[in-house]
Amino acid sequence: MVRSRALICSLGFAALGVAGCTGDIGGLGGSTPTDGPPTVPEVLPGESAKGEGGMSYMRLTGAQWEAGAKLVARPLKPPAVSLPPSEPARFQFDSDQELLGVREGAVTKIREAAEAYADAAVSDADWLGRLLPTGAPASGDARIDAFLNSMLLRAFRRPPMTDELTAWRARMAAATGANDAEKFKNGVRGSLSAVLQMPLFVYRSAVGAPSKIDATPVGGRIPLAPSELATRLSLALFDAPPDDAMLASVAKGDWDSPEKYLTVLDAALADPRGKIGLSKFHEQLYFADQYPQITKDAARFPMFQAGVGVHLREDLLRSVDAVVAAGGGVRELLTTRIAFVNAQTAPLYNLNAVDYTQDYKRVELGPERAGVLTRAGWVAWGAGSSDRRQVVRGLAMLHNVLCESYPTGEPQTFPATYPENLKTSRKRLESVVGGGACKGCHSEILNPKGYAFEHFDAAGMYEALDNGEAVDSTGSVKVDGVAVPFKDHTELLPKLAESKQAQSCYARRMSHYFLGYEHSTMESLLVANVEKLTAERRLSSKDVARIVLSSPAFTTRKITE
Amino acid sequence: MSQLGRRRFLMGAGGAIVGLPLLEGLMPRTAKAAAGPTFLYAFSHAYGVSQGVGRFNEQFWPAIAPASGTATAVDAAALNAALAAGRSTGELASIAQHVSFLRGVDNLVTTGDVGHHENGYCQTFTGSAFRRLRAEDHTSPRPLSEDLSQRVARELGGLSPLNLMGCGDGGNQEVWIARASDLTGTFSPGGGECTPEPLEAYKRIFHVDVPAELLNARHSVNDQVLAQLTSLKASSRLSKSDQVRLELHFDAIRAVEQRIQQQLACGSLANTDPLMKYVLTSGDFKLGEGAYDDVARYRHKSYLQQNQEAMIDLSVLALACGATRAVRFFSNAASRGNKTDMFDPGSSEFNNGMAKEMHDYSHQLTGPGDNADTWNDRLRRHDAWHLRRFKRVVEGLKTHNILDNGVAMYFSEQGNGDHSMTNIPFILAGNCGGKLQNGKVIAANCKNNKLLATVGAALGLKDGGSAITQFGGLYEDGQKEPGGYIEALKTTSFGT
Repeated sequence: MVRSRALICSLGFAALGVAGCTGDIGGLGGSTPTDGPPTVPEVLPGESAKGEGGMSYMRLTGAQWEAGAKLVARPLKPPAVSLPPSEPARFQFDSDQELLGVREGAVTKIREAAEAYADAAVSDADWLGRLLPTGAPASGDARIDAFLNSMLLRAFRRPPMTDELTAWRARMAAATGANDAEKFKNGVRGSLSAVLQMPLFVYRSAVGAPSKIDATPVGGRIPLAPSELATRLSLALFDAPPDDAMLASVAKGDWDSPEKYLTVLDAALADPRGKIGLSKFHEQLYFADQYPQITKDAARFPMFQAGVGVHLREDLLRSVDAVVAAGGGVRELLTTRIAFVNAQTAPLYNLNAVDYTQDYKRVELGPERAGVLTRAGWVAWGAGSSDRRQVVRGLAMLHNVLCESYPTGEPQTFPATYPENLKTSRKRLESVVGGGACKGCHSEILNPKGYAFEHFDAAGMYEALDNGEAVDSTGSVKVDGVAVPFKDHTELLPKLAESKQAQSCYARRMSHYFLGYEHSTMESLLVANVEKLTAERRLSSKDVARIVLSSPAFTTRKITE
Repeated sequence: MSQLGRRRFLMGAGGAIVGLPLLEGLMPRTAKAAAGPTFLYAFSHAYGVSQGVGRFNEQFWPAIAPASGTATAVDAAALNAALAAGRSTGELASIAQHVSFLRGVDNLVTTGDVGHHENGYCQTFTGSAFRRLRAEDHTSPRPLSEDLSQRVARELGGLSPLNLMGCGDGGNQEVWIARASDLTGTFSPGGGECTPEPLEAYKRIFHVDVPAELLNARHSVNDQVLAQLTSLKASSRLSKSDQVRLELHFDAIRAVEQRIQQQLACGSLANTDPLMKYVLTSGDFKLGEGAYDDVARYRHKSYLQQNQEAMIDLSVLALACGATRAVRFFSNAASRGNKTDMFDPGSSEFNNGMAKEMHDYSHQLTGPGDNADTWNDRLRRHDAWHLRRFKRVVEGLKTHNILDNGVAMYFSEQGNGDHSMTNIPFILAGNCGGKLQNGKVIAANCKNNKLLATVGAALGLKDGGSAITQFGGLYEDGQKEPGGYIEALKTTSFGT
C-alpha cells in the first residue's frame, strides 16, 4: 500500500491533537504539489447543521450481529437465523444508520435469533469448555462470575461494571433446574439469549472515555474510548465485533494514543481479514450482492444458467480484491481486465466452457471488458430478463460512480410490443422516454450513461448487434463539468477512471460506508483533497480507507449539547 | 379497547400468576381513557384519480358541485346516476348515507419540484410539507411532522398504528412516513413497520402460541432491555439522533409487549372467525422468506384482490377487537410491476390482462393500441377497483357495529396521475360519534391540514386539554399554515 502519512495526518488527526503535521503529500508517489491539500481545521466546519458525528449508539448490521453472536455464544454449529432486513432503499449501504432503526419487527427477529443462538450454544456435550474460561472453578458463585466476566466482556466489548455484574448474577440465580448443573446451564442459556438482545450488544457505543471527556476536547470533538475505537474499526474492516485478541490488545493499552492507533490500523488493513470490509463496500457499490437473484429468459439466454449469479458475484469480488491487493484504486477498478471465470460464467464472456472447471480461473479479458462495470454480473444486473435496461445502468453509474444528484422520476416501464421498426433496445427506450416530460432527465442525464454499455445484452454478453441491427452505444456524458463524447464504453470508462469526479465520488461513497451515514463535511474535505491530486498520484483503495478510518469523523465523536 | 392488566395477562398466558412487576416503561405514555372505541382507518393508493384536473377527464366525483365552503346532500340515487355516467365514486352508492366527499383539498406545497409519490404521501397524510435528506433524491423524503394515524395511535391508544400494504412487495410509502423527520426533532417513534402479507398480518394481530415459561422469560428480557435503554437515554451526552434511535427501540419493545396483550385479547375472536380459519388453512397465503418467490402467481391479478380483501377483513377485525386504534392500509395493487387490469374476477374482461403497468396509464404514455379511450377506461377501472375495496372496509366496520365510532378515510397520495398536489381526493365514512357529516359532497377548498385537524378533533385528539385546531401545517422554512376546521364537515362544536 502506498503510504500517505502526511495526508492522513492533515486530514485525520487534527482533532486528535497530533503535532507536526504538514500539508505534504509526497508519500503518495509523486512530488509535493505546489497547491498541496488544504489544511483541515480542528473543527469540522458545518457539522452542527446535521449533528454529524454526534451518534453515540449505532446499530450493528445483521451480519455484524451474527458475527458478534458467534463470538459471544460460541455455538458449535451456528443456527440459521433471519435478521432484520433493511428498509427498502435504493443506493444505500447496509451500514447506513438510516436503515437500521430497531422497530417492532426488528425486535422480534433479534429475539428469535438470540434465542436460537442461546439454544445452540448449550446444545452439545462440550459447551462448558467453550463458554468457561480456562481454569474457571467447576461450581458455585465463582463459576458464575467467571462465565459472566468472560461473556460480558465479549458482548459489551469492555469489561462489565460492578452494577452490571450484579444484575447478571441475579439473572443466573433466578434460573431453575433439577440440579445445579441444569440450573447453571439454563442460566447460561437465558443469559446468552438476553445479552444478545441488550442495547449494549445490539449497538456499538461511541461515548468516549469518561476521563477523556473531562479533558479539554479538541475542535469540539472527543476521542472515542480505546474499546470503542477497536469496536468501530473491527466492525468497519472485519465486519465483526472485536475478537478476544483485539480485546486483549485494548486491555494492554495498544489503542491508547493516536500514534498507537495508526499502528493497529495499519495492522488491521494488512490483516487478511482486513479485506472483508473493503470487499463488502465494493460488493454493494457495484451491486454484486444482488447478482445471485438475477434471472434471465431461459429460452433467449440458455447460457445464463440458473444460479450463475452466485459465480458472477464471486467474479466481481475477486476482481476487486485483485485490484485492491495490487495497490489499485478506483482508476484501476474502472479499467481492470482481470476477471475470475469458471465453467458457468465462461460462455457469458464468449469463452469456451470446456476450458474451465468449477474453480475460478484468473484471466485477462479483451479490451472490450476493461473495468468492473463491464463484468457480466454488473451489466446483467442492469438489465431485464430479456432486454437491456439503460436507465438502470445509467442510474447506477450516476449514483455510485459519479455521485451526481439522483433525478426525480419513476421506474421506467416498457410496452408489451413495439412497432416493427424499433428493433434495438435503445430505440425502444427512446420511444417511451425520449419525449415529453421524461426527455429532459432521460436524454441529458440518465440514458447516455447507460448507452455506453449498449454492447452488453441482458445476459451480460458482448454483442455487435441488437436484434439484428448494429448497436448504437454512442453518447455524451458530463465528467468534471465537461462534455465527454464517446463511441462506447471503451472510450468512456478510461476517461471516467482519470476524472476527479469518479475519484472523489469513490472516496465519498467509502466514507459513507465506513461511517454509516453521509458526513457531508467529511466528504467535502475528502473531495477537496482527492481533487487536489494529479493523475499520477491517485489514491489506492486502501489509501482512501486509511484516510477515512483515521479521520476525526471516525476516531472521535462530536460533543453534543 | 380491551386492555388486559399485566398480571391478568400473565394469568391468561400461563394459567397461573407468574407475576412480574408492572413496569412503568410498559405503560402507554400518553394513553388516555376513551369514551368508546374511536378509531381511524386510512385507506390509500397511488397514482391519484381520474378527475377533471389537468389533462384528465372527470370520471371520479358525483356530479354535484356545492358552493365553496358548503355541503350538498348526496344519496344512493345520485351515486347510482354517477355510476351510470362513468363516475367511479358511484361504486359507493349502497353506502351513500355513510360517506362524505371532500373536494378541493390541496397539499401545502403544490408548486415547484413537488411532483412525486413520496411528496404526495408525506404531505397528504401529515398536513405538512416535507424535505428531502438529499436534494433531488426522491428516495430520501422526510416528513416534517407525524401523520394522523401515528397521532391517533399514540394519543388515543398508546400504540403504534397497524400498517398494512395490500399485495405484498412492500413499497416505500410506509417507510417514508415511518421515518418522519429526525432533522427537526419532530420524529414520532412508533411509525411501525408495514405488513404486506395476510398470514403475517394474522400472526401479528392475533396469534400467540408460546409456552408460559418462555413468555415469562421474554418479558424478563424485555424488562432488562428497557431498563438498559432507559439508562442509556438518561445520558446528557446523547445527540438528537441518538435519542431518536433509542426512543424508537424503546417504543418497539413496548409495542411488542402490548401487542402480546392485544393478541390475547383478540385470540378468542380469531379462533371463531371464518376468515381466520380461511387465512390459516386455505393455503392461499404464505409466510416467511421466499413465500412470494412465485412472482407470477403472486402478481397474478386474481391474487391482488384476494390479498387485499383478506388484509382488509383482518384489519377491520383488529379494530373490532381493540388490537389497534389506527390502521394504515396502502394499496400496492397497481404498483411494482403488477400489470393488474383492475377487473374483478368473474367479469368477462378478467382474462384479457393489461399490457402495461398502471404507471404508464397514469401518465398517459403512448403504446400500441393506446388512445384517450383506453387511458380513460383503465384509469376509471383503477379508481373503481379501489373504491370497491374501500367499500369493503366500510361494510366490514358496519358489520362489526363500529363504523360511527370513528372514521374511515379514503385518499390517494396525489390528485391525479401526473402527480398533482391539488384536489387530493378524500372520502370519509363514519361520523366519530355524530361529530362529522355523512351523506354530503363538501366543497372544502382548503389546505389538507384543515381536513386533518377536523378529523383529528372529531376523533378526540387534544392540544393542552382542548380539541386540536391545527394538525401539521409546517412548511420547510418554518412558516406555518393557519389551522382551523372545515366547518361544513362538522355537525357540532368540538369544544374541549
